[in-house]
Formats: sequence, C-alpha cells, structure tokens
Amino acid sequence: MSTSLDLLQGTLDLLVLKTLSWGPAHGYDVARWIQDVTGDVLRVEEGSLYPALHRLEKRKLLKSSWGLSRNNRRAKYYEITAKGREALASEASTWSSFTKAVTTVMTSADRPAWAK
Amino acid sequence: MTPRLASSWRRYLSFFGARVERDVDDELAFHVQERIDEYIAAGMDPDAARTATLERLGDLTRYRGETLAIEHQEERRRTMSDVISSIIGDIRFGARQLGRNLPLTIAALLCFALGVGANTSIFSVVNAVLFRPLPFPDSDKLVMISEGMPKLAADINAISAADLLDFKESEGRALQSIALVQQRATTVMINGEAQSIPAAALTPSAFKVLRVNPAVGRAFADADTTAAAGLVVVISDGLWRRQFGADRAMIGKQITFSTGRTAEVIGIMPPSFGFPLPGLGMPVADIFLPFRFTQGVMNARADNFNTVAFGRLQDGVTMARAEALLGEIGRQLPLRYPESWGKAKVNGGDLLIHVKSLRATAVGESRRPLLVLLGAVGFVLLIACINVASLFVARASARKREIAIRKVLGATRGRLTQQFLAEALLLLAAGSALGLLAARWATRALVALAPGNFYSSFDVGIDARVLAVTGGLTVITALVFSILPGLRGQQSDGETSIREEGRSATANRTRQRGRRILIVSEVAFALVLTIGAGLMLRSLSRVRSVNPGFDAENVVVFNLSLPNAAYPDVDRIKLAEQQIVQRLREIPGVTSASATSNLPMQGPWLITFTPEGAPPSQVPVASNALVLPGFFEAMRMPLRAGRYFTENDTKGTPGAVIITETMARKYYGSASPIGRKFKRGSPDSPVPLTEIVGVVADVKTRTLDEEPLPAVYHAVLQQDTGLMVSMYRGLAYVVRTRATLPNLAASIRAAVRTVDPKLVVLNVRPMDAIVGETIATRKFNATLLGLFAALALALAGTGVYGVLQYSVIQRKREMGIRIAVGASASDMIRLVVGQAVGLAAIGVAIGLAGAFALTRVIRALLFNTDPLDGITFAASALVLLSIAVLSSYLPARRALRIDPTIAMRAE
Repeated sequence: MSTSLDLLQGTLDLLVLKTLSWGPAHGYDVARWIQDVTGDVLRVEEGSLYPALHRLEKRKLLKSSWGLSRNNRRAKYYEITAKGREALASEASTWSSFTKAVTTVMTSADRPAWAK
Repeated sequence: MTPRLASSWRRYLSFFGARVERDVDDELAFHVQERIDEYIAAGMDPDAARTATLERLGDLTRYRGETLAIEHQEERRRTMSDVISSIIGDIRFGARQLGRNLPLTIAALLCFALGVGANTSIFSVVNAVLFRPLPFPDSDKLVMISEGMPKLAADINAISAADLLDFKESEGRALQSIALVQQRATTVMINGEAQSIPAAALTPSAFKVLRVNPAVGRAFADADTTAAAGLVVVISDGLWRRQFGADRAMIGKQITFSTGRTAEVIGIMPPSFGFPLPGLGMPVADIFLPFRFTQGVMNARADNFNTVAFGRLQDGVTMARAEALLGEIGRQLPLRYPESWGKAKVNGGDLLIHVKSLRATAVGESRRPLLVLLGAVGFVLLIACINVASLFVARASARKREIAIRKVLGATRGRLTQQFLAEALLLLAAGSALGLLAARWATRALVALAPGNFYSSFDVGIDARVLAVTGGLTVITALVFSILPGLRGQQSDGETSIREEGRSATANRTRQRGRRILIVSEVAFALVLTIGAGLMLRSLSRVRSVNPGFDAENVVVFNLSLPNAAYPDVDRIKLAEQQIVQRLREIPGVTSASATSNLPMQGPWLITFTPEGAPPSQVPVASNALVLPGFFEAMRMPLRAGRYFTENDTKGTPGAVIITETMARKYYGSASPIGRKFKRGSPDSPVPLTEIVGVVADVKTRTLDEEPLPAVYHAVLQQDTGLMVSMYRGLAYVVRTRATLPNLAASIRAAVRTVDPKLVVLNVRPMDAIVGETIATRKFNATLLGLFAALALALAGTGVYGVLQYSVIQRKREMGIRIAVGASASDMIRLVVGQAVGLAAIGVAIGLAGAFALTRVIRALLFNTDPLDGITFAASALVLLSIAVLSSYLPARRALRIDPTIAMRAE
C-alpha cells in the first residue's frame, strides 16, 4: 500500500481490518467485537460498518463469500487479504506513532522555550 | 416476531426495487435479525428489541445507499436518487434527534411559532392595506376627485355635489366614468325596533366605476334617481345576514324607516364589498341609497362640500392628465355659475381640482403605524430566532461527541451540514406551520377588533405573498441560526472530542462568548421594543388626560329627529324640543339636560364667516352648532367672558352668538370681544350680523389629539331659515346625571314618550364612549405594540433563563470545585446572577443606543411625548435588568444544589 489512509476517515477501516485479522467474520460479528473490546466507548452506528466493509472489499483489502451463520442464516463473510494485512501493518504503525506523539505532547512537563 | 420484522424490512426495501441490491439487503437484514435475537435473549420484549436495533443501526437508508454507491463504483458521484434518499434519511434521523429531547424541541417550536405567528398576522394586514390592490377590478385606475380653494383650505377632500354634472363632461376623455358618495344616517325599523344603520348615497355610476355589482338583485339605474321613482335601496351582505337571516327573498321586499317611509330592496352586495373606503372620512355603509340631484343639492353649489367624488381613469390617461382636463372644467365654473362659484372665486381664490389615487386616500394615515407594528413584530421574531439559536447551540454542544464520531466514521463537512439543515428545517417548518395557524386566527381577530372596521374594506388574508414571506423567513432562519451553531460544534477536533468531551474544568471559551452574544442581543432587542411600546402607552395616557373642553363623565347622549309630517313648522319643532328637554330634567338623578345640532367629536359642521372689521379677502372657517339653552351648563363648558344663552334668546331678540377662546383671540384679537359683530358666510352674504354675547373655553371638535378649531354657537330658538331648521330638526340631546343611573335609557324613552309616543330615541350612549372613539386607533396601535413588547420580554426572559440554565449545567464541575474549596451559597448566586446582570447591562446600553436612534421613527405617532422621554427609557431599562436578575436567579439556585463530590466526577 503506497497511499497512506486518511487517519480520521480511515479509523473505522483500521478497526475493521484489525478485527478481521483474527479470522473471517460477518458484519454483525465485527460490530459485536468492536463493541465488546472497546467496552462500548466507540458507539459506532452499526449501519456505517457496511459502507466501510464494501469500500475495503473494492480496494481488495478484503474478500467476501456467502455462508451460513451459527443460526443457519445466510450471511456474508469477510476475510482479510494479503494486501489487507500489509495495509493493516503500515496503518497500525502510523497510528501508534501518531498517538505516541500526541501523548508525548500532552504529558510533557518541559516548557517550550518561549514560555520559560 | 423476527420474521415479521425481516419481511417488513424487505417490503420496505422493495420500494427501491432493484434486484442487484438484493445481496446488500440480505446482508443488512441478517444483521438486523441477529441483533434483535440477541436483545430478546437478553430479556427485552420484542417491540423494544426492534426499536433498540434500528436505533443502534442508525440511518439504514443512508448507509444502504452509500454501500450501494460503492458497489456501483460511484463513491464520489452520488446519483439524484441517492441524494434524495439521503435527504429522506436525514429528515428521519432529524426527527428522531428532535424527539429525543422533547422539552427543548417544544420550547424551540413554540418560540418560533410565536414569532412567525405575530409576523404573519401583521404582515398580512400590511400586505392587504399597503401592497395589495383594493378589492375592485383594475383598482389602480380608481381615483378620488376633490375641489379646493387656496384661501379656504388647501384641499377639502370633497366636492360640491352639483359640480359632478359638469365634471361628467370629461367622461370618455379623462375618466371612463365618475360617481359620488355621500354619508347618510338612516333609522330602520327591524322587528318593530328602530335601529340606526350607517348608510351612503351613491350615484348609479358608482357600480360602473368600482366594477362591482350586487351578488343578488340589481344595481341602481338612472330611473331610480328621478323624483317620481319609488325609493329603492341596495343592502350590504353583512346587514342581509345579520338582520334579515340571509333570505334571498329579500329582493323586492320593503324596509321601513322610522319616519314611516318605505324603500324596496333591489340588491344585495357581495360579502367583500366594503364602502365607503376608510380614509374617505365616512363609516362603512350597510344601506345604499340612490343619490338624487334635487333642487336643494343644485342650490348648494360652492356652499355645501359633503360629497366625495371618485372615478375610473380612461385607459392610457395618467392622474396628472386627468387633473389637467378636470382643471379646465374647474376654471370654467365661476363663469358658468356667477352666483355661486363666481362669488366664491372672489373670496376664496381660484378653484383647484385635485385627482388622487383612491388607494392612497383609503390608506390615509394608517401607513406609518402599520410599518411601526411590522418593525415591532420583526423584533419579536428576531428574539424568537435568538432563542431558537441558543437552543441549537446547546444541542450542538451536547452532541459534540456524536458529531466527532460521525466525522471519524467518514462523514464530510457537507454531509454534516446537510444533516443539521435537515433538522433545523424540520423544526422550523413545523414551527412555521403552527405560526401560520395562529396567524389565521390572529388576522381575523385583528380585522374584527380594529376600530371603525378599518381593515374590513381591504382584502386581508394569508395569500401567496404572505406565505412566500413566511417560507422565506423560515429558510433564512434555518440557515443562519442552525447551521452556524452546527458548524461551530463541528469545528472541534474529532479525536479529542471523543475522549475528552467535557473534561475541561471550565467551559470552552468560544462557546461562552457565543452565549454572551445571545444574552446581550436578546436584552438589547427587547429593550428597544419595550421603549417603543412605553412611549406609545405614555402618549396614549397623555391623550386620555387631554381636556376636551367639556366634562364627559356622567353624560349620556342620544339622537332624536322630529319627522317632517308631524312637525311641519318651526314653532312646533322648537316647542317639542324644549318640552323634551324639560321632561329629561325631571328624571330623578338628572342634574341638567339640553341639546345641540352638532355634538363635539361627531363630525363638525364647518362654515365660513366674516369677523367684524376683517379685510374682505379673508374668509376663515369655523365649526358651528345650534344649541338649546342650558347646553353649556350641561356639558360643563366653562364661560370665559359674557354670558351663556338663556330662554330669552328667542325670535324677536337681537341675534346672539357665543364663540370660543381660540376664535376670540385669533379673529377678534381679544379675550373678551363681547358686543362685537359676527357674520356667517362671506362679507357680501345676505345673513344679518349677530352680536357676540359670550366666550367659552375651547372644545376639541373632531378628536382629542387635534388643535381646537375656532367654534361658534347659535341659539336654536333664534333660527328660522330653511337650512337652519333642517339642522335642528334632528338634535343630539345631552343628559347629565349625578351618578351612573341604571335604566337611564328606559327613563329617557319614557320621558320622550310623554311628549310624543311616536318619537324614536336613537344611539343612547355615554359621552365618554364618543370621546374614546376618537382615540380608538391610537389605543389599538399602542395596545398591539404593548402586546408585542410583552411577548418580546417573555421571550427574552425565557431565552436568558435557558442559556444560563445550560451554562450552569455545563459548569457543574467548575461549580463543584468552587463549593469544595469553600465557596458559599451566596457566592454561587452572586457568580451566576452577577454574570447575567453584567451581560444584561451591556445589552441595555446597546438597546438604549438603538432606541435613541430608532424612536424618531414613531415621533409622528406620539402625542405630547418626547421620543427620547427619559422616564420611559429608564423604566424600560430597569424592567430588562429585573428580568435578567429573575431569570438568572433560578438557574443560580440550581447551582446551589450541586453536590461537589458528584459534580467533580461528572461526565
């Protein structure tokens, strides 16, 4: 992946990719997992997941297939592609360096030169 | 349960009906089913599970559209149907958001509805009176024609009826046709009871000029105006419905006047016909009689000016051209009629003919008050909008978290703006609809309550223009007051907002500034309006306390006319009138009684006169009245010099007149010109000279708020000529009592019956009601303005309250800290109230400056009141400050109840 994902717009994409890195899942599973892991802090409108899934599939970061769910219902399963894993890795490092940088600024006790 | 939902979801989707979309639909349907199952498994009842699921999913229609767009490789270019479906989605989402905070939504709705309602009702009146054409076909061609003599008065707004026949020569050149209207008073017997009904005499051409015909029956024909023809009348729709039960068989029936004469009803006018128009100085008539050019009318040429001429311009002829053409005829009149106009020209100068738009005449002086009222409701709307805006700001701040998340999820700025606009439009459109409903009712009330039926002659109603203005206001308000705060809410950085929402110890600075601006502007606008209303009310109370020149309290007046048939000669008339007055004085509780031909404030009888020793070029005008002995005493009109009339001023004694102070000072140059001579008419008129025997205090002849006219009083008992007799055949009787008497009207009727049981007593009413009527329009406008100011104060009060209440909730944590470190209860109150009063003081300063600049607009409407009246300004400022204290004290008390430990953990 040469182009870097827009951080804000792409945060949901990043969460989706990370979720699917654990294995194939349908949209509802992805929603449940994000909800459980974040303790419902990111109260995502679940419907918004679907444009994200389809967008990622179009960009070949995911692939999909129809299968049966645990309740024997017809469900669409998504699976991360090799290209998707690459994107996840590069975006994850961008994300952590970003948060690290922000955290450093926010917790810094050093005054800037002009404020000394 | 779940299959039912799934199938209804599918049925819902089948509206979009595309097979290609089936996969996406199945995928979403699967999600919905799974979620519902889980909620039910967790113990929710099925309906709640369904609702919670849809809530959780968010705006499904929109997400489905976005997903499909991606599938169609159209991520950027959205098709029209997507836009529409996303707008529908926005509206549904907006409705849900609004429903979530119902009290706030209802508050905003009511504020806006009030503002829109007040605006729409005043604007629909302004629209009808100032903008819309008169309710006649091609009404811009209608003109009023009047005569004037520069030396008498610039324009008498009337013509001498006989001249109409000369002006008719211009028909076909200047005017298509020309008509006359004259005010008449009729007394009609309805169900055995005499009722006085306003009437007007019209020439048959009036219907042609106005292009209105009776809805039932026919209009007047020329044959109806001949002396031989039986009397016919056309009646108004209102009279027909009120008094004759809307019976179509009325046509051809006879109505009976109190004099015993009968007239055949030949036509009923349509409901929209209100004539004479207000501004022509005559009441709207219910009975129309044919105007006849009798010998009396022809003889009164250049003497009697009590008819109004109006006409319809010939196609392609301007008003200026018509005025020139009629002016030519006017210049010939002194040559054609040397006995009348010839002499008047000598005394009054050239005869001038004026042609004015009938529309402008009809509107008269109501233009400025209407515009002031429109400005006032504009202020009310502004304040209402500020309230709505503050509610939106509060909502936007409360939804910062939601906005931030949606940005993270990829919503663009445009997308969010569209969402905010949808919500605002939804709310404001509902408010406008509510306001329009209220306006429909309020407009009717305005028309019904306006003094003198003023608005009823105009086509007042909610038309396309009114709707367009209301719609435009809604859209502009939605844009300005909802998107701006919405965008401000968006400006916050998405990432930090999600995590740090509300964690700042003190509320955000820009948000606080926004709130300050709201409070300051509300106070400023409300203050300007309060000062305006205060000035009008002060002016009203000044008018009310004006001394009319007589004491109207405990005086009851009535009209009585002696019919020609039973009272053919002068002596019988005088005798009957004196007997009636005598019987009235005998009623227990009555202290005095008398009668006059022209009651003050009931339309003056203007005459020309010649003061003794005045140069012949000067022919001044005075108001005239014929009175019975005891009139001045009964009215308590103070004597300044000489004496009142007595029973001895009768036929055979030297002619005596009593004049008013103004007349004495202005035309005799003395406060006491007793013994000097007075002459009615021009210096060469055949009327004998009379001697001035007394001077009384000035009387307001027309209205309370005018300068007194010079006035002269003659004794009824000394008058014997034809015109004079016709003036005192009908008199207005005045009855002064010690206190308000119950059943006085019945006692009066009984007293009159002892003189002649056939006589009809009409219009019994207290004199102060008549005085009140002359300032009714002033009172109406001042009351409306006062009402709008009260509305503005209430809105501003609740607005300030709302903003502070919200601010206290936002600052819970800060307050908690302050209480924890030992701030006392009174400190907290001082903090909140002090801040509010400080802001209100800034608003008051701005408002005072605004009022200072604006009150000159109403200068012309004020009576004896300085537009910069210090007391009004100070009192209004005090009112606003008190409201600020009150509306901040309540939120401050709320702040006191904050438990520091909870507050610091808040959010």
